[in-house]
This record gives sequence, structure tokens and C-alpha cells, in this order.
Amino acid sequence: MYSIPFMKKINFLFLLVTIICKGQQDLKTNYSPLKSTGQLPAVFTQDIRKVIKQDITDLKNKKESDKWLKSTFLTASNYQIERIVRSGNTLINDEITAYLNKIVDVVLKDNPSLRKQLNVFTLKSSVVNAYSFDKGYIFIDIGLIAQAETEAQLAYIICHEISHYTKQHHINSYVKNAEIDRHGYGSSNEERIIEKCQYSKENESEADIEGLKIYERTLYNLKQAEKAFDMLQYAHLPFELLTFKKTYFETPGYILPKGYFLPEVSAIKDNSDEDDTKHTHPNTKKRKQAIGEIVNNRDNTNRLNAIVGQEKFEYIRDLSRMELCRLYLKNRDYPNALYAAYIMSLKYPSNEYLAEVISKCMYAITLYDKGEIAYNSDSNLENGFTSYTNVESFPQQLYHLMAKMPENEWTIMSLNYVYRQHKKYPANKELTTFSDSLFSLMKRTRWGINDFARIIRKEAPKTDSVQVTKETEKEPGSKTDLIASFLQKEREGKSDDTVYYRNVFVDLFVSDKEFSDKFPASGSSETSSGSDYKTYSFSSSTSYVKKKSAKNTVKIQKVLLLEPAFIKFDETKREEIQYITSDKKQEEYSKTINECAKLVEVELVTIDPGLLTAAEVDKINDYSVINDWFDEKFDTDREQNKILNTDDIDGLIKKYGTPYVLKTGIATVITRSAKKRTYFYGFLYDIKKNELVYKRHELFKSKDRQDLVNAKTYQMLYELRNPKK
Amino acid sequence: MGKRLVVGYGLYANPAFSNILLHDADNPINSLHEFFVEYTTGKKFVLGFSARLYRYTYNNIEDVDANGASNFSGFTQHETNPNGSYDIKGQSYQLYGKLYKAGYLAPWGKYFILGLTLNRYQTYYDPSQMYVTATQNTNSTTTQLTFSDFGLTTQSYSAVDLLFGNGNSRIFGNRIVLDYGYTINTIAMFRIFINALEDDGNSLYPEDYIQKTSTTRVAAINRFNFFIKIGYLF
Repeated sequence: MYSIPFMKKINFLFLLVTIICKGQQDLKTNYSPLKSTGQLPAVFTQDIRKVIKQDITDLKNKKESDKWLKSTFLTASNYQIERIVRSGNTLINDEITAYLNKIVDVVLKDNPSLRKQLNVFTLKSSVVNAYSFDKGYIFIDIGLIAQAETEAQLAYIICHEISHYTKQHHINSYVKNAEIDRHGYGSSNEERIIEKCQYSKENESEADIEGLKIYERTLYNLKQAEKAFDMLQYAHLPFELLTFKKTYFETPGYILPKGYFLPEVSAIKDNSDEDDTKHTHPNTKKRKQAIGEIVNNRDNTNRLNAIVGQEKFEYIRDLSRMELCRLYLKNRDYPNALYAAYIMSLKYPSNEYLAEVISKCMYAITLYDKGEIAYNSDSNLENGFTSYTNVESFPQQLYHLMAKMPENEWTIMSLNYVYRQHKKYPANKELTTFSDSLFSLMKRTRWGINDFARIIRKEAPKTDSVQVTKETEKEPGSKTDLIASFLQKEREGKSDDTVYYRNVFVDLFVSDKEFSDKFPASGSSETSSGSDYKTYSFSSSTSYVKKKSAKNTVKIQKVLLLEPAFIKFDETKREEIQYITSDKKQEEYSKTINECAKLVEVELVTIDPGLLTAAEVDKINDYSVINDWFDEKFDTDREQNKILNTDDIDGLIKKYGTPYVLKTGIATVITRSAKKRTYFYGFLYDIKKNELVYKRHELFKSKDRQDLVNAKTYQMLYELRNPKK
Repeated sequence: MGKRLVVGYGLYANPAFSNILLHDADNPINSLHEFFVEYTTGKKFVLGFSARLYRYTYNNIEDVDANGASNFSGFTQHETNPNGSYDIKGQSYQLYGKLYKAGYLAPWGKYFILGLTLNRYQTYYDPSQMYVTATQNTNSTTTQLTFSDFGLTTQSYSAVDLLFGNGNSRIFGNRIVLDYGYTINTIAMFRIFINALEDDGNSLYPEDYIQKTSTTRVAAINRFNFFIKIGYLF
């Protein structure tokens, strides 16, 4: 009698032990965004100025040409690498990076000295790309791992990047580009670009061939090297192409009209032979052909698609795909996030995180339709959501649904989905919040309790409602009847919004008291905040104006200071960014802020990746969380930009004891006409309320003198501590 | 950085145009020395008080009407400038406000200055050194006489003026304030026009000589000045 539950317990324990031993996430139930772990690498703690000095000394000891240019490059490159690694977007000692390094171990099994020179990291980026820097730094985007079909494809791409490093393509390109700029006075700008692209393409082709040589020494399937180019060719499409099911958002009382769905989706365009004159990479056809010619003459028997492990690859790829959903959300690319989460949810239907992502996307799309989520030229999606006519293959179905379904109906569909997910995962605060926000939206959309059936009838509509209404259509008689008929037809063309959704909530009205209590009695255009979290509630126009003035009214006692920025440009020089001066000035600026904070009695908690010790990996994770918040915030210039990617924000506020985050910095420019300009900025955000609490940004027609920096910094902190009444 | 009180020294200077253009310039620059104390009362405002001291020797470049001297009446008129010179010792007190321009924070940055000036000065001459030589022609005799009738040997004057100007304060090491700019005393500036209006082409009478020339001289010293000040920030 007790044997079955006992066995279940044993199985559960076994599963738990397996998960703990493997250190893997159980994606069947949930997903935790990727975090860095362990000790931070030397790039965090080293004195970069000493490193550069050593690099330049080494360069001087070599018999090489263009030493001055190369010294400039080494300075810039060291800082670029440091910036990427410290950005918070680079994952350190996480599962994916560990996996990538295992592939590198396999690939360079016979070359331990080269292996030692390499540092491979994963970048939290939705872009499908990989990058190689000199000094052996290789970065692989999450977007690329999510797209990879096999471990072998990843291995080949890594080999390609290793070849860029061994052939010193990065530094050579820098020198070559400078040479083209220097000697290209007779040619037009376009000709110079073409010349640079041509050189880049030669490097890429060389890396393809040299990478294959490294790859060949392994047991990886050679055909996969060729297939890697196909994977890259179609990287603009989602990682899987699966039909978007009409039934996905349907519930027993809610059948979507067929009119919202395309009978056929558009074909995928083949651009593999596109004109690559102005591209940095040769087109796919050429690359595939070059690799194919070699691979086809090789024996490919007994070669493998995975050496580290097929199961491991699939897990890592799924992890990347989960992270990709989060990255799309952060980029405010809601349709892509929705489609990616949809695909993943077909594999992991009980994954709570995916339910959360889909809920956030549904909510965001509702707001987009209402004009409350906007995009501009600074946004990741410059022109907003792509028109469904420009979307290829199965994702077109989703875009079509978004385009054809009126926003008031999308609100219904969103609430129906999000509320049910909230009931499924009642402990999930995010789902509760978005569900509550959607109740508010229902009210603002003028949906009321009377618009929906609250009693279960014996025959719930199971057929397409458009057909039902067509059956009940009457012949028009008078002019007004005719108009009514036209209107009716127009509504049917869109969706028939009077019928198909009427029973959508009927089961909830009958059996769910929480739903009945929260559902608006009648629609209203007034602002309603049904949420405990102001982040997702709506602000009245008055408070918006107040926020615009950005004068804080509360005394700020504790502030989380994000790495203060100091950047110096000199437009009269080839390398405009003055890295070393900027670095020194940044250190001074940090000191100034701390001195001023002491004077005005503002408690500062600084998160500066440049000041971390090797053990402070948690701070780099926190830095990443806040940066993600700001990435989303600054995706447009709208102050009231909604932030949806907020999972870790509450924990962070609790940890540091303040919701106030200060971003401040100084940029100085020496213009081409040798004029000196200094730009100072300081913005304080309440990341809990998604409010700009304070802002100060000023341009000075002078250089970055210390008294200027002192005065503005002191003023900023003083004003935070002593707000104007 | 929260410090408000500045105490320091300033050097004011202006080119002595009349000395340079009209006469051999012993002193091409007029200079004044100032001690000041300033207090920052708000983000954009500094209240200041200063005392400027100067000492100047007037070389009697203006002509005097010898016939106007009482004890020489009836003699042939002669116009000449007096021999010697007289000293001017002045104190100028300013009460002023510095209004900092947009983007700056008192006591740092560019500002506009507005205030009141009280000029007090004393003149002193030595009758044995400063005198007029006049020639008396009677029939066939010519007599040369000297007189030194320029009023009291020590005279005191005072005048009020309206001060304005522009400047820029720099702060080094959070303590040392370097301030530079210019000031204009309005009435002193208009003294040029007042003199031009009052000028009837006649020379000055001896008893008015010091009063008139010292007023012009003091106005010249005060009307327009470049300054550089150094202060300590408490």
C-alpha cells in the first residue's frame, strides 16, 4: 500500500541527488538566469596599465613594423577586453562557459601551450556571433549557442576563432585599416570601406581554413563544419521552426477565430549567395564551398557530432535558449521572446520561468498596442514590432496574430493566459503582479463583468465563432440595416469580437473567487492600480510631469553607486578614446565621489567591477542585474519605460538596503578644432518604482578641471541629501 | 565641497592710458591691493567685503591758471602746470555680491559681480615742493614769482560708486581659490564724460587744483580694473 509513494520518494531523491551532483538546473520545472560563480579571473584584479606597459615593451623587443600603431592597438585592445569581461554580460565559471572550455580542451588536446593562452567566455547576448581578441580572449554569444545544431558546430566555430588569434588577425586588421585610411586619399570613402571589407574577408577565409585544420585533428564530424555555415546563414530565424499552434492560447471556453491565423506562412528566402562586397565576411555559399571542397575529400567515418556529450550539449543549448528568452525580454523584443519561450514551452510545458516570460510578453504586447510601450532610433527594435509580412516561416503566424487581433481582445487573451499561469504557480510574485496589472488593463480597456458569460451553459462554443455569426447574418433592408451589416462584416473580418471570447472566463467566474473579486465590475478609463508593484502600474499624467522635472523630494541617505564613468575623447587623434587617461581620471573621480559623499553624509555602496577582489563574484552578478535593468530602461528615451525583466531586482534592493541607484560620469572631448568640452551627468533612479528621482547633466566649455569635477559632484550629492522643498 | 568662507588678497591693475598716451609714463600700470573676505550664502550667491589700498603720486600734469591765485591778482596771466607732485593715499571699501552663472556652484565658476564702493582718499602736498612759477610783467620789468596756494596741505575726499564686473573662480586642492576677472566702477567710468562736459577750456584755479585732479586721478584708478585674487577656503 505504501510501496508506490515510497518509490516515488526514492525516485525524487535520486533525481535531486543527480541534479545536485551534476550541478544542473532542472529545466522541466524552472530556470534560474545564468550567474557567474567562483573566483573572478585576473582581468578583474590586474593593474591594466602595467599589463599594457609590458605588452608595449614586449612589442618593442620584437622585430616588427608599425610599432607605434600596434602600441595604440594594444592599449585599446586591452581596455576593450577588460570592458567586455567586466561588463557583467560575460559569464564566469558558469555551466555554459565550463562546457565551452571543455570543447576547447578537446580541440586543443594536442596543443597544451596554445590551450593555456586561451580564455573562453560566454557573453549574455542574443546576437548570433563569436569574437576573438588578441591575447587569446574568445567570446561566444548565448545567441550562437542557442542556434547550434550540434556540439561539433560549436567546436568548429571555436576553431575558427582560435585561428583568428593564432594568425593575429585582430591586430593586423587594425594596422591594415590604418594603412588604407592613410594611403587612401585618392579613393572615395566607399572604396576604402570595400578595401577594408576585402581584407577582412581574406582573414575570415583564412580563419575558416586554418580553423578546419585544427578541427580536423579532433574526432568531430567534418560535415558539421560545413553545416555550421548553414546554421549561421539562417541565424536571423528562431532557433527552431515550429508551427505556432492556434490552440496554444485557447482554453475550453475560448476558441480563437480562424481569421487570425494564416492558412500558409511565407517561405524562407535563400540569401546564401548575396553580394558580399561591403560585408566583412564572405557570403555563406563561398565559405561553404571552400570548406566543402576540403571536407568532401576527407574520410568522415567514425567521426562524432558530440565528444563532450550529446546529452550535455542539448542541456547547455536549452540553457542558452532559456537565457535567450530573458535576453529578448531585456532587449524589449517581445515577439521574439514570446516565440522562443513558446518553442521551449513545447519541450518544457511545466517550466515556471517560461510561463513568466510568456506572461510578460503578452502584457507588453498589450501595452504596445495601446501605445504605452514605444520604440525609437535608440531601441533594439528601431521601428517597433516587425510587420508580419516581413517575417519568414512559422513565426509569421505569431506576428500575424499580433497584427490582426485588436488590442482589447489581446488584453482578454493575455488575462486568460496570465491569470491561469498565476493559479498554476501561485507563489510566483511576478505572475501575480502581471495578472493584477492585466485586471487593471481590462478596466482601462472598458471591459466589464457584463461583457463576459459567468454561467456555464450546456453548449459552450466549440466551433469557429466567425462561422457562427455568419449563420445568424440577416439580409440588410433599410440604409441603417445596411450600415449595421457593413459594420458587422468589418468586425467579422477582424475577429468577431462580440462572440468568441464571451465564455473565456466562465469557468473562473464560477469557481474562482479571487478572479471574480478582482475582475472589474465595469470598464473605466480612469487610472487604476491593482498592483502592489508600482513598476507595472500606470501613472497619471500629473505624476508624469512631476517625474519629468526630476527633482527629488525625499532625502536620500543611501545610494548604490554604479561604476562611475570617465571617458576622454580626443578627436584630433587616430584613437579618439584616450584609454589610459580615462582610466586614471576614473580612479580620481571615484575618490572624489566618495569624499563628497562623506561630506554630505550620503552612504555610498559602490559596485565597480574595477574595484572587486577575486572573491566578489556576487557583486559582478549584482552589477549585471542592475545593468540589465538600465539596458531595458534606456532602450528608449521615454522616462516611463516599462521594465519587465525585474526578477532579481527585489532581492538586490533588499541586499543593499536601498532602491536608489546612481549613475554618474564625465565625458571630456577635445574637438577637431581643439576646443575643450566637458559633459557631466548624474542620474538617480529608484529601481523599485522605476522612477527617475534626480537628474543633472551639464555641458561646460572647458576641460575637466578638478574644481569643476569637485563642484558638480558635491552639488549632485548635496542635492540628493538636501532636496528642495 | 561644502566650504564657504574665503579670505585672501587681490591685485587690481589697469593701464594708465593718460600716462602712456599723453606723457612719459613713469607708471604705465595703476595697481591696487585688496584684502577680501567672502562668504557663500547659497548655491549661486557669495557675499563679499573688501578693502583696497592704494598710494599714488600725482605728477601735476594738468595746467593751473596762475592768475586765479588770490595773492597774484592783477599780474599778467600765466598758464603752467605746477612744479612737483602731490600724494594720494586711498582706501576703497566694497560690499558686493557674486552671482554665479548657470551651471556653476558658488564659490566655484563664472560669476557676475554687483556691489557698492566707498572711496575715501587723502591728498598731501609739500608747499616747498609743489608750487607754481608765474611771470609778472610791469612796464619794463619782469618779475618771476612762485606761489603754493593749493588749499590745505592735507585734504580728504570720499565718493560712492556702483560696482559691477565679471569673474571666474577656480579652486585648487579644495582650499586655494584663484579668482580673476574685471570690475567697473560706474560713476568713475562716467568721470571721463563729466570732465569733458565741465571742461570750459580754462585752466584750473589753484585752490580747485587738487580736488579736481585727484578726483579724476582716483576715478582713473578705479574705473576699470583687471584683477587676480588668491584666497584660502575655510
